[in-house]
Amino acid sequence: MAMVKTEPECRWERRLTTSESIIMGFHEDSGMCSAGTCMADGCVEEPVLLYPHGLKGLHSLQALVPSLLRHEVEIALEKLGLTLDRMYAWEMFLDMMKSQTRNSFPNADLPRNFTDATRAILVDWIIQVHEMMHFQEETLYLAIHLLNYSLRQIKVTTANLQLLGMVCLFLAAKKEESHLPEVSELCYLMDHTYTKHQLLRMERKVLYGLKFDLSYCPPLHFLLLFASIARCSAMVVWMARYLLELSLLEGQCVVFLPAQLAGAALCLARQVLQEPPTAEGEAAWCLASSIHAGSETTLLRVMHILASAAAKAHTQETCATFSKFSSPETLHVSRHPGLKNAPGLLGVCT
Amino acid sequence: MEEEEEEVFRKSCSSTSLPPAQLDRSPSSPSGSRSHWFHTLQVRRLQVQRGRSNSDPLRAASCQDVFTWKPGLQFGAAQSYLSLEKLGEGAFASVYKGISRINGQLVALKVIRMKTEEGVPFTAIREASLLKRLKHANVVLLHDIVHTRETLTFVFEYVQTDLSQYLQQHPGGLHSHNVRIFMFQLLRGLCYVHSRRILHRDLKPHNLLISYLGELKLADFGLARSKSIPSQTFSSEVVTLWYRPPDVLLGSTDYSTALDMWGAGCIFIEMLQGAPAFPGLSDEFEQLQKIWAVLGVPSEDSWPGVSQLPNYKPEWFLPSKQKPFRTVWKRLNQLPYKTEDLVQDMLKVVPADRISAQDSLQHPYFSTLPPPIMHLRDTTSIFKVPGVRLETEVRDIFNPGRRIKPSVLPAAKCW
Repeated sequence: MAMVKTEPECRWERRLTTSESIIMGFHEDSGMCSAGTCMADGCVEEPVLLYPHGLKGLHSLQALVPSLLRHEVEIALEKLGLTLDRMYAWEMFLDMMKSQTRNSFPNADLPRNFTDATRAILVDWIIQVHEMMHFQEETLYLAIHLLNYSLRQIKVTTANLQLLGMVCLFLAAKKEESHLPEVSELCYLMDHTYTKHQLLRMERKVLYGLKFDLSYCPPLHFLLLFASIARCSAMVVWMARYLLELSLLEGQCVVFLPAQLAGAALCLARQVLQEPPTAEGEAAWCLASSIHAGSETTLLRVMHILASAAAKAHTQETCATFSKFSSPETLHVSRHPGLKNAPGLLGVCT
Repeated sequence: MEEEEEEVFRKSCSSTSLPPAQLDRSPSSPSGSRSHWFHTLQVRRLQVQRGRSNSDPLRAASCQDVFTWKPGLQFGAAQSYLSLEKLGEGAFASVYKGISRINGQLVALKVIRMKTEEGVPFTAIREASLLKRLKHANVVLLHDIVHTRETLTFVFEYVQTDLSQYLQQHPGGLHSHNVRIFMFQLLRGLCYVHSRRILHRDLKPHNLLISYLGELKLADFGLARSKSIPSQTFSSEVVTLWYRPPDVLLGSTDYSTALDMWGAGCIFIEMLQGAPAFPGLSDEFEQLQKIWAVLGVPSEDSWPGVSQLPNYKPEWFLPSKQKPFRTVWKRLNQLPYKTEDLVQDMLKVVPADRISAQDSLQHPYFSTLPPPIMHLRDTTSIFKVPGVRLETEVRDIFNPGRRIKPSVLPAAKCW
């Protein structure tokens, strides 16, 4: 088989040994409970919230405003239809926060033959195809995630880069969409540069590289969640969505967690728009941003990246996102004059 | 003899295709006609004419002895698994009992045939990425996925039997203690998947695998779908009618966790009674009639919004009033009130009133189980808790001689 394994399958193997080793001893559990980490409802809270990249602060925060934040998160998740039942919302949120750590990369390095510029051109093209197909936004985020992942997992020649991008979008659509495009249609969109056979072979290769794991919590869900808690205006949300989508084009953004990207996009959107503050709004914002407590420096870094990306978006060759968000439905956010001096805005703030 | 057996193994090992054609043709496959997968007990029954035994779990141990595996084999490779026998055949997939050449474990191989035109089917992609996320003692474990040009094989842990067969083997209702143990595990598994935004949507005894220890595992998530925004309307026709809740039968597409809870309630009754709770005959209408006969025909007063549901036509239904459950399902009479109470919470006509899996685990019905059972981590089986084990069933069609005197039947005086 032409498939190339670039990494030993240690992750997969670890949980595979025998069922005995998967099952943790009961006594170990009871020990943990007696250590005081067990909540009344039986879910183990503490270890869940300890993750890298500075989000550790959440735990201490939880001690401060436990019920309020929990309540707000539950309401927001239910409103967004992200949870099946209000009762499971908090657990769902903890699961989102925990599982997102699997979805970022340790570094932004690309394989030798690719540059960030090449990647940006490819992502821009995927954004255009995605828009043409009228897919959901989740599909786009998943597709780019799959692309980031497979660029690092499987060996692809520059000539096959476009094929890889299309396959990632196709797979994301298979996971998320109810109406799927036909393979021949996809080949047509690539000007028949590749045959159907090649596309399907690439699909197999990617699925193998991903080990069939297509689960992903897109930063968009975090953004909508935070915006809902923070009671942001429609304008702020659209602006944040624009900035968040710009992050897909930035190769260096892959090292950040989805929640950090979302938080930074929202934060920057507020600063750019400078809406007159209300007491209520500020309180809600404080609560929402408390989720990021402890990771402010990371947030600021992301904001700088997004600000400079937004400032030069209209001059770039890769401007699919810019034009997408200049439409009246999106409140023309990408043409907002405040974006031009966004980097300067941050400079003053810091 | 042993050498000969090994030779046969070597021979089948050398053909690396999955599934092996030579096993397909084997006329001695006793369960080949069954459409459902994981049906394995009949196979064992033919070999060993005796009932379930907790001390001798896998008769296949001898099979593992003659089997030597190589260290160089990898997960994800077709030659790493060897099909032993066909367990079932469905429309799009066949299921084989197999053995892993990597570690010698028994596995169930679900082989999905792919029509290659459009690549890997989206259902397979969803099922795979969904199952890969689920790691719980009461959810069947996906070990590996093998992908070849024409087939996609899901490698699952091998579980000996399922609740449907267990019920057949022990007719007339199960031991009340065992019902409690099975119910706890069913609800624990549901609580886990529900908290991950996943509905099973096709609960039935067939889909609940039972290990020799009595571990219950949710299986066949083929129709399950992780919900995301914007929520798409699911297609209807997903749940076997007997276990389908009235709101879905009335045409509601607003599926929620309550969908699975109704199914769990029906299974609860089936385990107690030894017969399905609402064995409808053919269509939705008759199925609803069965339900109304016990729970009463709903009105806008008892269920606000019911008249808006597409299939709600009260004039079609014979008027009937709600009956006490214990007069319909007699076994409830012999058990303490809290059993009936939990059943009532689960089989509520109005979906919003139905108890959630999480709340049901806190129900007094389970208070007789050892308390540590409530604080296990996800992947820990409840049988790791000291004192948790299955009782011997009163009736066993494979051990008719070992009948207990009626005077000591636990059903007479239940705790």
